[in-house]
Order: sequence, then structure tokens, then C-alpha cells
Amino acid sequence: MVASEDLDDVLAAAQSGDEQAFRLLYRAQQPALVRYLRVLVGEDAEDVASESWLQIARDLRTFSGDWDGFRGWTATIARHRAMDLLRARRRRPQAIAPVEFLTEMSAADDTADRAMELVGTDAAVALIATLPPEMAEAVMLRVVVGLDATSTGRILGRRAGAVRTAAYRGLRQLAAKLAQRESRHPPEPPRAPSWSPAVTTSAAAALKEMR
Amino acid sequence: MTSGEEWTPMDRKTAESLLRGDRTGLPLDRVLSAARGPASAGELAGEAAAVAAFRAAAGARGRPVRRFSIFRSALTRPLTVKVVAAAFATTATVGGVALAANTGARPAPVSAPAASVPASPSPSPSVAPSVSPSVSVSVSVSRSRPAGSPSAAPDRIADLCREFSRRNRENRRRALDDDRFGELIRQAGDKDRDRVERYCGARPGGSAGNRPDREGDRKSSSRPRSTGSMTPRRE
Repeated sequence: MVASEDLDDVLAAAQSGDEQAFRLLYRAQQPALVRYLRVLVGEDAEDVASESWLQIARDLRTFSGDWDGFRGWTATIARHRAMDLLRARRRRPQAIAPVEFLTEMSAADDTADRAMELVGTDAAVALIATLPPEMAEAVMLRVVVGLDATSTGRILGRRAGAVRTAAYRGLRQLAAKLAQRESRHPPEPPRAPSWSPAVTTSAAAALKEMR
Repeated sequence: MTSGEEWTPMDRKTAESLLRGDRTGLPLDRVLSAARGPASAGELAGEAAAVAAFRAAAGARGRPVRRFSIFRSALTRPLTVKVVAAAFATTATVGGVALAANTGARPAPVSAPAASVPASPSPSPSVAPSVSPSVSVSVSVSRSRPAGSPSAAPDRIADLCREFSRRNRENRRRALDDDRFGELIRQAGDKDRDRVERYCGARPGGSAGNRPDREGDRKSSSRPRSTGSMTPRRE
């Protein structure tokens, strides 16, 4: 991982047109974005992340701030693109809502169980995604994207205090899921995550109409 | 909120540690650190497309001219001269401030609006007879810092400086992204922590600088002081 101070410089270089610097930005931030998007749009996370990067690349020069600010800015863009997709899905009732999808998945595959020993990144994100959306988002933005409560609140349109509460409650529920699981099962070998990568769904087509 | 009965203060502390990524010894450590884990190849599969978009955007826009371009150094001096002239001609214009801030021309410590009043005798006659406190502040600012400053700004800026200086290092970084501090950052010339610290005369690490010239914007109230101290506010 590159230090935050260095990424300030990388960001500046990318803003002045340095392509290699932009690649570094992508590699540093894309994992956080796609994992955050996972809790919002499930299996469409990769597609929405790609749409987000188109906008990030386009608007990078107008962004003003350092690496910390960049993380918040990109998360905001990703969230907007995710909301576009969710709106499109609502217009297409046959599409599966992400939370239902993940909840069903967790019931069927017992995601919480799988997530435990030698926790894999995908399994951990899937477990967080089983939380109620506002908690899942707060936990992801703070833990994975690395934002503070204030920045997270700005993205979610909520006060910092509400974000803290949501994150705390999310952690509590996660802890409860883990405790429950440990009382029920001995450790099992980890399994591959349950979603298939980057499946293009019909809903993704609707993203083309965004600005 | 319903969380009041669920979280003791210690629990909240633990939760904050977890959210920050500290090790707490709880089973959750493993889940959260896994969620933060290194990138997989699959996650980075869109790099080529993103770079292509970056390239297209760069092509569409031509040569970079923003903050980090060579224009900054090349144009700084002539622009500053023009701004000086404009500032003297019209007292402080907002446009002049914006221009000066964008060029990043001003030497930082001198540029603090606070640095103006009592420390040194005025090198130039005041532009206008001072009628009200705000007018005199405006005039003196435009003297010591030719780029000028809107007459309403210094008090506000000084307050922002105090607030900024009370924060610790990490929180200062975050303040840079806070819209509330936007005016201060514009005055400092760049969205850069060091720059704002120098501008405010603050020392890194959380304590406000003990600069005598900070009296200038404070007039009747006490000086801004070290971290966490409650200084009287003027408004």
C-alpha cells in the first residue's frame, strides 16, 4: 500500500495528466470502491465501478483536494452511479434487489459461516453486506474506503453522529453473527465467494443512459 | 436513537478502534481486516478501460493548465504585479483575491490577514479614511498584502484559522475537504495542510502558533492559543 502522503503527490500528478499516476490512483482506490459498491448493488459492483471511473477520469482535473478528499469524492461518484442503477432496477421489477439477493444468498449459503476462518476479502464483504443497508454502507465507507464519520455523513446525507451510530450498530450485529456462528459450528475451510464475477445483467444496460 | 442502551462508552471506544482498523483482539478484527485486504486481480480488471477514459479526457482537454502546471511559476510574478496595481487602485477587490489565491503567488507567512496591523508601521498611507473597524482592517490588509482581501473576510478567516489550529494533524487534513474551510483555503492559496498552517501561523501537531502579529485581527479579545483552549469568539 502506498502511503497517504505519497498518494497526495500521485493525485497531483494524475491531475496534471500523468497517466502512470492515474493508474496508481486506480489501483489504490478501485478495490475500496468495488467492495463498497458490492454492498449497494451486489453482483453489479464491477460494472458500476467501471462507470464510476469513466466519470472520475473525466472530472479529475476539476477535483480539488488531497488523497483523503479524493477517496471521499470517488465514493460519492460511485454511490451516485449505484443509485442510478437501483433506480433503473426499480423501473424493472424483475431485477433482484441487492439486499434481497444478498440476504437470500446468506440464508442459502450461510455466508456468515463461510466468512470466518481465514476470512477472505469477498466473504468478509459479503458478510457486511448482510447488514441492513444503512449500517452496511456506514461500515464499508469507514472501514474499507477509510473515511471518517464526517466525510461518510456527507456522502450519505446524514449527520456524523447518525453515521457513527449506524456503524456501531453494524459492528454489533456483525459481532453477533460471528458469535452465533461460532456457537453452532466448528471451523470449516473457506469457500469461494458466491457471486460470479462481472456478469453483465440487463440492468447494466440502463447505465448507458447516465450522464 | 436506539443505540443508547446498547453501547456503553467503552463499547463505543472499541467500535471506533475497529472502524479505524486497530487490533482489538475481537473476532471482528479478522472480518474487517479481510474486508480491507489487498486487491485481487479481478478487482483491477477495469484498469485498461479507466486509463482509456483518462487518456480520452486528457486529449479532449489539451494541455494541462491547472494548479500543477508550469504556468504557475511562469505567470506568478507578472500577475502579482497586476494584482498589486489593481488592489491599490480599487482597494481590495474580490476578483483580485481570487486571482492571487489561484496563482499561489504570495509568500505564505506574510500573507496572513492577521499579519497586518500593529506589528509594523504602515509603509504606505492608508487608502481611505477609516470610518469603521471593518474598513480600517480592509485597508491595512491591502497594504501589507497587496493582493487584498474582502473587508468582511479577516474576522471570518481568523476564526477559521483558530478552529483549524485547534485540530490535530489528522483532523486538519480532513478540514481541507470541509466546505466550511473553503474560504480559508482560498486565502491560503492552496488546499494543502502545510500551506494553511503557515498561513495561520500554526505549528504542526495541534498547537496554534504563538505569533504576536496575530493580535492584528483580534483587537479586543485574547489571543488564540494552544489546542483545545476556549478562546472567546468575537461573533
